[in-house]
Amino acid sequence: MGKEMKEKALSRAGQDQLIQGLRERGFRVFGPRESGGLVLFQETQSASDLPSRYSNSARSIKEFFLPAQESLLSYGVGREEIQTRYSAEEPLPTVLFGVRPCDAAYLPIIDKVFAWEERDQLYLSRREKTLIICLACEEPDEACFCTSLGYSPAGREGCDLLLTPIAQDRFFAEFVSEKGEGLLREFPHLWEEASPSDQKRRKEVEAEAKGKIKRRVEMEGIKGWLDEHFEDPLWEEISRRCIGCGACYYLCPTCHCFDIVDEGNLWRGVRRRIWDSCSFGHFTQMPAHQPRESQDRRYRQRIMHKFRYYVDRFGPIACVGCGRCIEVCPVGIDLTEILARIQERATTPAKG
Amino acid sequence: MDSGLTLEGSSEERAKGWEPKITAFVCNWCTYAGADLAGTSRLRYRPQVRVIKLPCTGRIDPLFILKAFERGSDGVLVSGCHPGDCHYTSGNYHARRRFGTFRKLLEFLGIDLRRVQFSWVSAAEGAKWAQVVDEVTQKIWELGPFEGYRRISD
Amino acid sequence: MSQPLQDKARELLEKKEVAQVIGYGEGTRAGRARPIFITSPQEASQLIWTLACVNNLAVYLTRKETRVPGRVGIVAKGCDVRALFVLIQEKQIRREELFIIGLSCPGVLSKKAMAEGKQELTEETKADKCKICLVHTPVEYDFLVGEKVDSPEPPSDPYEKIKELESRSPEERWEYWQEELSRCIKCYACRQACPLCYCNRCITEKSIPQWIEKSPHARGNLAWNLMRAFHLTGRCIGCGECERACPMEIPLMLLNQKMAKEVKEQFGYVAGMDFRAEPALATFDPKDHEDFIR
Repeated sequence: MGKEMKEKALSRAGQDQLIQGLRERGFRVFGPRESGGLVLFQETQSASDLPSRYSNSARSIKEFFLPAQESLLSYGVGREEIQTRYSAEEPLPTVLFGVRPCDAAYLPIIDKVFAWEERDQLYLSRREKTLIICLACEEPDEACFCTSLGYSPAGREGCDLLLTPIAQDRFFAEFVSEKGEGLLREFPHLWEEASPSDQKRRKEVEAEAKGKIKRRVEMEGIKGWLDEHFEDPLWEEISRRCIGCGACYYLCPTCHCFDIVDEGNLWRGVRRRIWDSCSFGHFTQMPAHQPRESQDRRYRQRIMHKFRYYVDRFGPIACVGCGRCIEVCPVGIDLTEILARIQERATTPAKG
Repeated sequence: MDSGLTLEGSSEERAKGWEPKITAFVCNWCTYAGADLAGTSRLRYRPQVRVIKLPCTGRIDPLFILKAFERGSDGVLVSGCHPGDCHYTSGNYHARRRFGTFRKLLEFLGIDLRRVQFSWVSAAEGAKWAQVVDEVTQKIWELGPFEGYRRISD
Repeated sequence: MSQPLQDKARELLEKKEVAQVIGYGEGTRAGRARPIFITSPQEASQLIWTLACVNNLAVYLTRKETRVPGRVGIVAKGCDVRALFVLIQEKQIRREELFIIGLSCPGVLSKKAMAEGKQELTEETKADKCKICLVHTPVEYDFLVGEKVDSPEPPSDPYEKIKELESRSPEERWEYWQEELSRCIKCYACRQACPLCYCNRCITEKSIPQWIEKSPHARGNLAWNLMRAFHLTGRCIGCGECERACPMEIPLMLLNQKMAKEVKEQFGYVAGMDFRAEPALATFDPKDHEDFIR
């Protein structure tokens, strides 16, 4: 890695011009916006649409790559023939503006499964056509724990361009990827030179934000314990209060299970891909067998998949520490508490 | 005897170039028999209603009304035995309570209740069947296609 | 207020009058509570009763993972007891199987208030359902924590928001609900949190035929939310857990309260007040109104 990452500064007006410029070049720009009491990613006309103070959007950006529902093909039975038409259209060039670093960090992790043996063209073509412009986080939430997993409120993983606010009217801009550098070439007049004090301030902003993250998990030994404890009374204990909804799964950036459903009748219909969750009782229901018939087995699957199986298969832990699962759980299940309990067992010498 | 309305619709209706699709969920013992009587009596009435026969109005899950709209119906008619005459004794009483509440839920969600009609038609009331169909069809002609559902369906 | 609760639970477990007590314990976040399940007298000291005890614990009585054989001691606010009553009415549990540890409840904090770290109970921080509650003292209990209190008159019309929606045109209502339901992602948190959604196989899980589509598009969202509201008609007791659990802030209680209002006006029935009563939509009166039937 000999190439140096380019750095510039951007004014608030420049931020707006960037959004306008991208829209003019035919990009759809999505940014966080207040909607129905939540912050959600919606089409954005200008930087003034962005909410002023918020920690993160309610839903992650995964829906831009794996939509909650998408049509795969449609079929029609006519008098003479049966017609099928593949629905997938060429994705439109898209910009996700104002993505938090934890959310962007999910992309390099989950890209691996979608580019695995069976390359998922729907996901990959959207990835290719989407530009990720991140906005560093200044006000982490109480539930955030990205730092425990090696990420940062001003982290660069998954970003094409990272903007860190360093003053009221100034952002530090880092062109993390080739795609990001394209913005430097495409909009040469927007960027200002980054001074050494800009660089210093950028580091300070990151350190301040990191300092606000109080939630801490020690990951040491967790993988090893999971490797050895597929059966353990802990699973039943930690999952007893789980009511089996899909809230944490659907809001989690790294959860990616889906179902294929056929909607229609004998003559006309659509085949769709929709989100699914391994917490649902019937997720592993098969004609002759149901291997996860109780919630403890289903909850075990969540932990195992993210912290053991994904690591074994692809390398990284399938968790970015965004904290949405903790925020949204109606019954107060806390992933960091569970990881801490596992870690405690992992590092306590066995009795007798 | 017919209801006096033309089968093909008025000239304004025909100019719209659209015909309503109305699904009627009817009970086997009363309304279906009444519709049969209308047929054997050679009564003329609007042809835009599709009849689905069930044993009893008590078997009609309110969900069927929603499915009919999902599948392209512009109006729904539910019809069964008069209170006291149900072949299964009390099916229509249960239906009355169910639909009495369900229609308020549909209304609350913004569905025009003029698109959802209910009637008691007995096996002897062939003429009433023809009249109900004509009136309901007329109403749906006036309301036009159910745009709301069109927009949310593929 | 936690002491009398802990003492009673300890006593019940020591005397083996119950096999398990389902109650609230400290959450991991400041000022929060969460469901706990205790089976030994020593664990009774974990029980708490605070303004953050929002969950309806009745939901655990129909889940096989949490329903241990034997009598269950269940900590229940007035709204929770109403849910227990509907479960008894619907033969999901017998009254004798329950030891109801009733809570005299002034109200609990709203989701928003807890997210903002508020700790005082005021008209602003109270959950919406508490503002119109008529069961600050549960209608029945085997033991009461706290003093019996009367429910105050609701400060405003409980149906204010519903009446406002009713006064709009059908097109406006349609637009309103299409907008609100557009955020639905079919996570089924509403269903799972509801103590009365206990079907082993929910209608939406039936695929031949697919009665209610699982997809989170406009059509599927309307079908799901509308039919769930209908399946709860005459049964929903207004605990508001569905709305609290919803991660997308959909005002589900508007649907449920509207239907409760209809059932009350049409049949004079209020769910969960008397477990010996017949559920409104499971029975009929030959003189029921039929002004909508030609």
